[in-house]
Amino acid sequence: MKKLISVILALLVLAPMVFAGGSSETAAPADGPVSIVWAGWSGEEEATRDIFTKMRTTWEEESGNSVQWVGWTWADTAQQLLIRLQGGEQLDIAQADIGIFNTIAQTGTLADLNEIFGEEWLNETFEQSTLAVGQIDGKQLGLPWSMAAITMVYNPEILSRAGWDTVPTTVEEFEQCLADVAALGEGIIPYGVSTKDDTAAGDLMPWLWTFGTTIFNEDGSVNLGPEAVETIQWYKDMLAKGYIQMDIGRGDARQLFAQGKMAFYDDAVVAKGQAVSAGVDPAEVVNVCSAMPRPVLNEGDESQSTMWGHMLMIFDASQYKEAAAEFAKHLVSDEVALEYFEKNGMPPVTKSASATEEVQNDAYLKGFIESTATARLDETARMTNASEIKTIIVEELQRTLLGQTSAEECVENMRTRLNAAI
Amino acid sequence: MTGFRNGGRLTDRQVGVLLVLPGVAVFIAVILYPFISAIAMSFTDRSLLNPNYDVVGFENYMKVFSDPYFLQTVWTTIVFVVFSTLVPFTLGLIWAIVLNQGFRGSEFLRGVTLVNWIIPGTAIGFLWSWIFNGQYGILNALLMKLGLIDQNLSFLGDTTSALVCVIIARSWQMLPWYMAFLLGGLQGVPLERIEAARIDGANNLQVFRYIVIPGMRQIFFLVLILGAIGNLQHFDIPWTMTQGGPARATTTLSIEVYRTAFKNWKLGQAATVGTIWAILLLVFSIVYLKQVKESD
Repeated sequence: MKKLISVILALLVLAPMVFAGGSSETAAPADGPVSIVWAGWSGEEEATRDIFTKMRTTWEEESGNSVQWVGWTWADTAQQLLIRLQGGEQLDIAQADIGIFNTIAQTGTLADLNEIFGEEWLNETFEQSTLAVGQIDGKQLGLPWSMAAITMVYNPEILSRAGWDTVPTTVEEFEQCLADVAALGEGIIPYGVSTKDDTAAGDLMPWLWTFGTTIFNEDGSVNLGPEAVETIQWYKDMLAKGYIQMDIGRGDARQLFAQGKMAFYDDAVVAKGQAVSAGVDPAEVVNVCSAMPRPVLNEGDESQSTMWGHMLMIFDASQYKEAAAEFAKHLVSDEVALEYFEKNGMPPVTKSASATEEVQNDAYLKGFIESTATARLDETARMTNASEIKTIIVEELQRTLLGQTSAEECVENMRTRLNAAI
Repeated sequence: MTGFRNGGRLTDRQVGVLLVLPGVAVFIAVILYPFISAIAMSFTDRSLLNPNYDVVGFENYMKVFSDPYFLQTVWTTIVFVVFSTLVPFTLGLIWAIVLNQGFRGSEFLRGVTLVNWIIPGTAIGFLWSWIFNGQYGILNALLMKLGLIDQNLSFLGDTTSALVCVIIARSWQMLPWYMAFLLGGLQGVPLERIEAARIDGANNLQVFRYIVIPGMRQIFFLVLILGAIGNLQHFDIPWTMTQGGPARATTTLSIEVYRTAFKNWKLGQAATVGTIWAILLLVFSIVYLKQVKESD
């Protein structure tokens, strides 16, 4: 009996070692149909799941290859991609927004798309301005898929009730409009600027630009001029007057705006999806959800907005780069991109699809496209520690809004901590 | 006991070693190796962005201790652990005493109470976020209906109330756990002693103070230590409710480790915070083990 126990235990101890050794082999590329791994988040979301499935299946039918979708929530995508990359798991093509793209690009694992697609095809297919968003150090690491701007969104019906038939164009008018909305007394939050999570830093940036300063200088050193104090003080005043609120993130703002309980907030084209989910007819969306240029400090100033977009990345270590490239071409093709636009409002980026009548004449998209012309990249978009920088900005902003520090102290604390972080 | 090999058979001792071996192997692979690896990592600049790294000595420790907000994080952790342990412990004890009366339906109530403990922490976090939400939360709606407030309060948007809200949610989750342990302890207090005390004229408070508490001292201590260890490790409720904000008001060490590793990508620095955190845990664990040994 003891012998039997000894043999069984010895086998139990040795078995995992044997199997562990056997699993380390990697499959060689096959000549026939291949299976590529596509990662991202939109295939996990209710609003886009169906079209993402269709994108895969139509290509699978055309090419004979297969696509395995690996998805997470948007918030987890960057970390899961990094973990997958460090673990050496198969990853051929991935969806990325500008922030995720920058993080993954810093790992040096992305293929240069100039070599895969050829510069000629890229230049023929896309505008230079959109290609530039996916370029780092002269390499084309991201393929533009959908691009517009994060600008201000407003509810025309609420503004109309508050006596505004046109949108405010200056900060002064904007404040007056917020006061008029607050005076309606319908429990409407006048402006849902983000005051929690990383989106608060993203919302603050275009206001800093509007007031005439930036967080960083072009050489990467901290700027935060005197106008930064003015901007923070302006936020404080808006909070004191009840125009903005604490504990509002992008998700909260979308939800409240869709319910008609918010007059303004900052968002990208995806704002439409939330309104449609809340029961608004897609054709009537512009009546309750329209994009507008951000008000300027002085008449004649340039309106500020942040670049927003989705890109496709192909991984250098992929054994199926050609198949991944073919799949990427399928995704940006007019047929697929226009269907994606029609169903989810995602603006196409190829020259041919952008020029179609349905895109050009779309009333909802118009405001976003107009803002894109002057949109800037988020100031942390090319930084390896973008999240850390945003956390510092948000924490110091929150301290000031909660009355723990003054606007001057806020900017000084930001400067000290940012200097230590860069 | 047979001490030597006999006819090719294994001795009892050898069989014992072999039986323990799989457990030891799992312990080494799942706990010891990652633990030592994490300590080693705390002396490197390892990042999720790059598989290559250098040894940087105590640089990460110096960075962490020179961060003006790190001590605030340790303090927040202590406040969270103390209140998230004492509040459900006290309420759990009261509830255990009530259920120990053995009235009709007490067993059903005991089962219902355990539901809180079964629900996953993230679900509890979202549930309480909804209750405390400053725009559409039901607590605001209730207070408004009762005429106690005339405008919504931002419970999760204020530094003090946010921590209180997180502690309430955690206490609600853990109350059944304390109740179950304490009820077991209460049922172990000899009834004869209670009856004898009552015959001697002791009232309820005196019975509780002079009979119940001394009889349950051991279990009180173990439950409090285990609860504190659990709270020191806790992550999901504060993360889902506030993500450590506003202005770091609910950032505990567990959140700091997660944020440093998976938001800032600094695995080396996260391992440093983790090591400091493990030392804190070690203090509680030593006290617990000592107590267990003494009670044996």
